[in-house]
Amino acid sequence: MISFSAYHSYRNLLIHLAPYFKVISLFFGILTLIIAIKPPRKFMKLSLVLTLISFAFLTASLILLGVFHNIIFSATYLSIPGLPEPLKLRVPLWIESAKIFFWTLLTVLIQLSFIIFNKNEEAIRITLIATSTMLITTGIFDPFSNPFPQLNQELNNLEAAIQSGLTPASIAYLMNFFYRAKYFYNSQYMWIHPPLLFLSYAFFVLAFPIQFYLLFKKDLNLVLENTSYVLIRSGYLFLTAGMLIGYPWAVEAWQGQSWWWSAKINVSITMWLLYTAYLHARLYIGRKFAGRFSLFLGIISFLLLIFTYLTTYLIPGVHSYA
Amino acid sequence: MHSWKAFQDKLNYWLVISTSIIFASVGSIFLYATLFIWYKLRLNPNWESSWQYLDYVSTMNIIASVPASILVILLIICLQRRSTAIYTASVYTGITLLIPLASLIAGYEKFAVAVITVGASIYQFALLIRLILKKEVLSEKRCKIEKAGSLILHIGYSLIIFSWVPLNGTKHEIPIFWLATIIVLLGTILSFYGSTIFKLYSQK
Repeated sequence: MISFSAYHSYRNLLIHLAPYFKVISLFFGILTLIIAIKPPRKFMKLSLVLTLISFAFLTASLILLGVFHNIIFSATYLSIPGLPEPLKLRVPLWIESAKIFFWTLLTVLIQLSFIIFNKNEEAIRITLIATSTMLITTGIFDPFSNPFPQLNQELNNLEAAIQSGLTPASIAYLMNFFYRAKYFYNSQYMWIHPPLLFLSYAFFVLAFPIQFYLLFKKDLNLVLENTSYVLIRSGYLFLTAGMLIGYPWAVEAWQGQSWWWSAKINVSITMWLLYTAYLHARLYIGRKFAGRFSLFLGIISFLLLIFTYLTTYLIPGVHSYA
Repeated sequence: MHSWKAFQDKLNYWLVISTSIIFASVGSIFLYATLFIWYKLRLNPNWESSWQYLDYVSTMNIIASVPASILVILLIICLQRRSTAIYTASVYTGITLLIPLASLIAGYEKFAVAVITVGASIYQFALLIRLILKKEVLSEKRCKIEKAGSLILHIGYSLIIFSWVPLNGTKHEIPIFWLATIIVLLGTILSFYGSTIFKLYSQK
């Protein structure tokens, strides 16, 4: 049987913690931005310590969310006649209100590795601008103020369906929810496809400010340009893996639906194509036109990444919340 | 001799830039499709359930196939430039392009795609064998492992298109797709990190 009391209690606890999360995330974001724009004397050490503390804070928040997911897993157990197997909800950590948070966590992790292994002060200063933006954004769109609103609505509907007894309407809802859980929340692809994509987004977000900075420079700083290339190619590997792994999931989950030309799929393919165009143009980075052209493609690709992310909320479709 | 090499370098450069431009063009088609859907759904939230959506899907399939086909043809032309066996390469390129063209004219689109993708895969595999046998393969990449990686990843993409079009809806589609995915990712890793892998291996 479903037991919702623990779920509701913990959800309310997270909501109470939201203002603290917001303030701390905004504080670290603004502080990171300040040291990036006006680097102090011991910049490298300070940036390392600040990024480390930010990472520790986000990890602690991740643990709190992990506990919430465990409560959902423990609390939801459905064994209803007609269902092929009992239902247990394994909700991942990168959906709905937690998406920006997860992206930020990965960005800070890569930034930390970057500071430890790269040592190029100028590159670190520029990438910290991206990291600070992510911290500020996650402070504004935090995962605690309204944890998983759509899932919460579904669980409330589930509770209502069970409480109304085994009527045809409630059974229909339960069956629908069961298959939604099977092909969405519990799908093995859910634990591979989105994390790979968010990992790629983290690399791309760090590369973007470098490319934007270089576009307005008269001479192409090849050291900085190479840094952005190294970040983008890592991101591209995870983006390609994530997108390709999404295909068999789509075939399985959206059988009979014309999902191929849906908005989110289209714009993600556009983004991938533009990054592919960038990687090809960059083969001739030494030539003036190819160098500027590749920077331009890299910037457009990132803007498309932002649009890809927002499409989920703006344009309805099988791959959307809108 | 010098002017011929300079011409080849310039040709390779513009082939790569053309490839980038065509990728961007295909991307703009997909972006247009996104904005079109957005506009239609704002006018009619149930548009995706209407017959007009099916009409849109088939129209977009036709529109997208044109630059996609140009990309595959460009791949084959670029592959032809990888080999130093110019005569053999040219003959093979001609056959790989003529048969699909004839098939398209005859109305056998899936067969055309099958020939061109399998043809491209075989060609790249042959270049890979040449590379392993220490023969020269011309490429923008310097490191041998990176050259191999580039060939492997393009084989993977050719097989992906093969799985999506000729094998679409068949029981072989997904297994071939998974195989192609592994090949793409392996090739991408070697292409991107080949020189690093080589340095680490040399240090041992």
